[in-house]
Amino acid sequence: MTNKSTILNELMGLGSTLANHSPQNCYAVPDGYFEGLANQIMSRIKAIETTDAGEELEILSPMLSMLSKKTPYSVPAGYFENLEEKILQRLSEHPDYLTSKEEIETLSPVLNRLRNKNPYSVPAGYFENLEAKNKKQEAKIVPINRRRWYRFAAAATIAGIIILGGLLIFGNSRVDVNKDPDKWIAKNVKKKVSSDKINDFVTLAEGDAIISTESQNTDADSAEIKELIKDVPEKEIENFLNDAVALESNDNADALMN
Amino acid sequence: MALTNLSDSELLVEFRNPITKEKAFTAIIKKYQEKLYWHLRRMVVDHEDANDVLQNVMIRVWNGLENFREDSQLYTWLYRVATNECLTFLEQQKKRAAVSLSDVESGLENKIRADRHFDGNKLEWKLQLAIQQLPEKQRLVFQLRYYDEMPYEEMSRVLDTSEGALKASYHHAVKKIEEYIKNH
Repeated sequence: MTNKSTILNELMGLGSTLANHSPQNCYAVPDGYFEGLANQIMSRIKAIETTDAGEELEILSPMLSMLSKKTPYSVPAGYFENLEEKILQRLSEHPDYLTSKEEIETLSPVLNRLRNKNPYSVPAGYFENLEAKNKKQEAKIVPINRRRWYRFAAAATIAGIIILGGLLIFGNSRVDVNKDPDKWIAKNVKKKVSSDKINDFVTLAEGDAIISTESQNTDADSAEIKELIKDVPEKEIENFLNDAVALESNDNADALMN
Repeated sequence: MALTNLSDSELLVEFRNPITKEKAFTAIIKKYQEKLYWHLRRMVVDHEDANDVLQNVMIRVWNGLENFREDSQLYTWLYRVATNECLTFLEQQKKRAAVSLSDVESGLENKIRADRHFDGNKLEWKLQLAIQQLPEKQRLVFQLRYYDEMPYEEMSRVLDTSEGALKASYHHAVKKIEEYIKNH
């Protein structure tokens, strides 16, 4: 079923009398309208896209573009010569109008009095000699390129020193004392502690080691001695000890004498 | 110091200085008087009316230029002031005559024909008559574009209308004028 028949059926269903009239276009279209429409639209598009007013008019209406733009109206002779005076005259007739002098007088009489008073003085003949002075003095020409080279060299040197210093101070990688104790000691101890002090420490350490060894030996010896003298009477041990002390005293006296 | 060779920005600076205000204003008048005059004259036709409107425009400029924000060109602002003043004038004429604006427009057509130099056979006079057939705003658009070659961007600031609408209006105006000239 076509749309047309659908619409007709709908109209008939509504009981409309419109179903009895066949649709006809009562409006007229000028002759040749559609033939020239595409060209007209294209011209319009070109005219819209151009920014030049002359080109735009030429596209829209070649006839108008050929017409002179001179307005045919006449102007009284000398009208523009004195126009500004007439306008100023008319302005001055306005009750609120003030000349610049009157304006400053109204706003600030003090400023108005000071307007033409210049407190600064200029040496005699200053302006006359100024031009001559400027011509005589030639400005010292300093080549920009050389200056710039020096500046870059100085900046690069300073930057290099800073970078090197940073590398020396912070450059070495940290050594873990647990993983590599020898290296850690080599890095942190040997550099900070003098060799003499290390030697003293080693000597002391050896002394302590001997003492601790001796103490360990003494303990072992005393047990052995006890085993050996368990059968010796006590009186004989006392006599032996007394004899040992007397012998030691004699030795000390001899040492003092010598 | 001659101010006539200064740029618009420099003239504004001088205008804002109380000491050079009048000189700067005079320089502005000299710089734009003819452009503004012809813009008004084409709208109101009669010289005396154009002169009145132009002087009203310049008084408005004197009062308003201090607050000009320079967000557009000076001459764009001047054109805007002139256009508004012109439309106000035509509106007042309508009220004075107590007739519709279309009658005012036919009155303008009569003024053209009443000009002592009028010659209906000459194309430039036919063009003026054709222009007067246009609606007021369309007339403005046509004149600003055709005579002053004003860019649409600036015209949109003068007339407070979008560029697209102005382009469409101008294109229609050109067609209407062409049709009028061909038929008369």
